[in-house]
Amino acid sequence: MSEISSSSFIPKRKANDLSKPAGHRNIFILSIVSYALFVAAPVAAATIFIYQKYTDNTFQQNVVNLDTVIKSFNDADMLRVLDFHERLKLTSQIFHSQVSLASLLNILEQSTVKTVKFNSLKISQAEAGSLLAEAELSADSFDAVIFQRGQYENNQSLASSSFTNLIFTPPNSETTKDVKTTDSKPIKLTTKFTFTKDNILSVTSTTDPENNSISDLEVASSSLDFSLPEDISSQATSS
Amino acid sequence: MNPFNLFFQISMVVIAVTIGVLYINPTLKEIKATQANSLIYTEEISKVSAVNDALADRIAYMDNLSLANKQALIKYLPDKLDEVAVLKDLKSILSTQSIEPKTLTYKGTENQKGTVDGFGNSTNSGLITHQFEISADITYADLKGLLKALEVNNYPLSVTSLTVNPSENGFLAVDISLATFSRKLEINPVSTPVNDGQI
Repeated sequence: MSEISSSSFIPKRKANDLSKPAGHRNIFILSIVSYALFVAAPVAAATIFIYQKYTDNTFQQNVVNLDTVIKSFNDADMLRVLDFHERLKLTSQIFHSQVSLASLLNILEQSTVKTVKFNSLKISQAEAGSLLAEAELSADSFDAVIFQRGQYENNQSLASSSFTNLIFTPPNSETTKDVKTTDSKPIKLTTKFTFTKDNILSVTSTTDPENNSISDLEVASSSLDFSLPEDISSQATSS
Repeated sequence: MNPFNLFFQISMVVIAVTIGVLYINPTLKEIKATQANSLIYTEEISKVSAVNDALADRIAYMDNLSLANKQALIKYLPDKLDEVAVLKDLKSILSTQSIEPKTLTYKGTENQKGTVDGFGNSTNSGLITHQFEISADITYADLKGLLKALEVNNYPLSVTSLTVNPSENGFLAVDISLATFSRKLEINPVSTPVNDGQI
């Protein structure tokens, strides 16, 4: 059999001759890469084109949505809220600045001894929520003045009092005879008190609720937290 | 290898790279920019929506307030003060306390005088201070009753100054300076002459 094959007139090629040249495989890889790129590039381009349309549409939708919500903002409502907020703020400022002069007189009453007499009293507002009271007093004796000073010093509300212009005029002196006065006490002095807001709280919080006034207002003011968010305030400012 | 095939393959690669460089890459950048803008718009939408919601809440709260409270608020701090009505109220308070005043005067607004109000704030704070003055010869008990009555009024009648001096027959000569307030509006209110309401 081998002889027959070897005797064939057909030329035979050796097995070594069947091996491909090395360059053929590289060209095949290049073919794969080039085909892959050639297919992938348009596919990617198409995908990106579609995605770009999608993102553009999303963006346009967001623009439309923003326009819609901006148009839904009501300037008139905002002005109403700001007006109400301003009114409440000012009202609260006034309300919490109120002081009670009746309380002040009560404090003076309770701490003043019977041997000391008020000849005159002047009360004026010094600072926010504090009052300055200036009074001319007269007393029978220095003991009464000393006792009165102690009484004022023991009272926390009147601890700031100070006695000045202390004048002793004997009852039988000529000055006393010349001056027509109903006050027969020989010692006269001036005193000043400073009342802080805590000492002289307004009595309005105890107002009759049926009176439909301050107490209702305070409840409304305290329960209505009208501290505007910053974004609202800023938007109102910009608008 | 067929040279035409090689040229064809190289051309395909070149075309693919060209597509990538000239279209895909710039488009990706555009998409990124669009997405960033879209994100910004989304955030702004949420902010504006939050403002609208908060505004709607406030409006609902205001609308739900009772009419009595709204009227009390307007009464407490009006936009325009009727000084004649205040004088009438003061007269009524004095009558309630059985006090006959010597004078009852509207002294004008501090806004006109350009001074500072009793709270230490300037008149630019949004408030106009209206000043009134009561002079009367009364007893000490009457004085305390009057002060209490002034404190429980429906609108503030702040005593800015009180002077008490002895008078005849055991009475006290009392001068009370009062202040009440109105809001300072954008439009300047009509100026009110001083000492225009003396009774």
